[in-house]
Amino acid sequence: MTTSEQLPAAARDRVYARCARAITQAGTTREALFLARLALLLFEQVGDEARCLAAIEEALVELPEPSLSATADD
Amino acid sequence: MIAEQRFARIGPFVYQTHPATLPALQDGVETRMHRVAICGGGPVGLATALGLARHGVPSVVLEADDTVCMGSRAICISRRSLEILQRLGALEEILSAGLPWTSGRSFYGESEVFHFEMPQDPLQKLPPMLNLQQYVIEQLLVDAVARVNSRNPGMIEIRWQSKVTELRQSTPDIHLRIETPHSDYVLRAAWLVACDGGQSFVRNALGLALHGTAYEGRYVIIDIDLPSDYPTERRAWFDPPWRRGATVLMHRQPDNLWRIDYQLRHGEDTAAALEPAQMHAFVQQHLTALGEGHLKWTPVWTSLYRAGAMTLEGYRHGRVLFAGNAAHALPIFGVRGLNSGFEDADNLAWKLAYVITGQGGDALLDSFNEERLQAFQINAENALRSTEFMSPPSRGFDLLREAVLSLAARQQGIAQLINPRQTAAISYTASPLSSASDDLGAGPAPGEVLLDVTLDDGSMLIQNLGVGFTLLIFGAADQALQVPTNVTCVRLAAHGELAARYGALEGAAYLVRPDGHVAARWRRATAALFRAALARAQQARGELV
Repeated sequence: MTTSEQLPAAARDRVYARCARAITQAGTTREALFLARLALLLFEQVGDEARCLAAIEEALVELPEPSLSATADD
Repeated sequence: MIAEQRFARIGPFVYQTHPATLPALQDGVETRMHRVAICGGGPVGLATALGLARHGVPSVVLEADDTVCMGSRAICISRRSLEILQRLGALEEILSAGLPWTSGRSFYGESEVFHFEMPQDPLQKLPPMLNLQQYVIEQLLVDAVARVNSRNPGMIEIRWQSKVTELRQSTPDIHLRIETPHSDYVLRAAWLVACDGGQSFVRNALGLALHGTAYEGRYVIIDIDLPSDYPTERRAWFDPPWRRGATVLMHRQPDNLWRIDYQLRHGEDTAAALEPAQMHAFVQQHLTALGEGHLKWTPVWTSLYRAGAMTLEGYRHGRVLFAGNAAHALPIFGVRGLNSGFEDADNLAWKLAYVITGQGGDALLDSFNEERLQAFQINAENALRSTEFMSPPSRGFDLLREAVLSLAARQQGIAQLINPRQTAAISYTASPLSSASDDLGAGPAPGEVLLDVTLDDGSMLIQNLGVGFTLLIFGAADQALQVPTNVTCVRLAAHGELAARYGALEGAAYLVRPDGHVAARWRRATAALFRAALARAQQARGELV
């Protein structure tokens, strides 16, 4: 997967934590919708079809089966 | 499927019924041999007949019914179709009967989240879209046929109540068995154009089938008589509170007729949904939500629609040619059904006429197949995007659509995903009829449709095109081009807005096909370039390099 610029380590930590809290905040009934909206917003910001498609493919590689997150208080 | 409803009139429109006619026969065979038989007297069949007549080729149209179609069916005519109807001599009547429109709105829940305007050049006279009931379109084409016949008696013969029941290809003729209320007979024709719709008899008789993708989504179409003053535009409601999880569309037609399309939910029983009481309840809820619940309305026509993008593998089978729904099926979203049928007819008519009259080579008909198959792929691709949004085929499409709709009010880029991608003129980029050309920086490239503009005298450019090929020449006339008499020359100023739209400087020229597509263009035309391009565009025998 190609990246044009690396996120600094400290910033990556902060974004990771904020996204995790946002998913929790959205709640299990809306987490999929939240992540879908996030993906659409990031596609617009990336503004590059190849990089978006590469990220989508990368996210599908070795997708754990079953996912531990599937058992979250369903 | 709903049983075909039969009307004597709809609003002010009165159905004219036509008697069956029987030609002169000998031993059950029509004595006259026809050059072209057209199976199906719907809009595509009538447009094909009118197109052939324009080039001096007579035809016989075989129509199973005794009148035009029951119910509104296709109601959106694209600008490209209006240009075609201009050539067929029906534009004025269509424009004065129809409702032009340029924009649309989409709602999510109760708020408007997207507004679109269809492309419109200030120099363009024709609207991007016009709403008109298909039965009116067909009647106006029948009227245009009568005008052609009053100038040239017998040019187009419409045989009503004449159903084709057998087809036999016996070189060099095609033999058709025609069933009429009087008796059956055999009709012979050199060429057959199948415009007999989605359930095409000709297609089945040749053992051919449509292939492609069928979609899950089912839509109910209901036309109602409603005295609403809301302007003509396309409105779409996604997940409205009065029909959670579904999509609803609404379009205005002339004569207080309104089209409402609404999606059946997964697992919803089709028969139950089509119960008049259920449909009535939904329409009343919908109108109430729009603040029009107090208006008195009555249902007029209903139908059930299932989406699909399917095509024949080829539209030419020897001397049998397929056009319209007989050739392909397209999802309704983006209104490519009837409009692509008109484009088929427009593409085919001049080519078949040129082959029959010897003005062009037989390969012209192969180019009809190639160009219209390419058009189908483009149409199907666009219609597929629309359909995936209107009727999400899987969980992923459902989820992303909800994400788009819920972001659209704040995110303009993402909101573009809601755009219904209304049909636009197709470019035949890989056409075998196009010749090497110059890049003029603006204007239509080879394969693209001419941009219609208003000229200084107020006329539309398309009104100045010839019946055959046209050469647009910018600036002073160049006598050395040696333009043959059957090519119409249109001389235009090499400065001003029009020239700018065409990227044209002094000496530039465009060679335009009879269907308005550009065959070639040059920064500076020469006699040799022009002659070679004309020969290629006509697929003239022996003149191709």
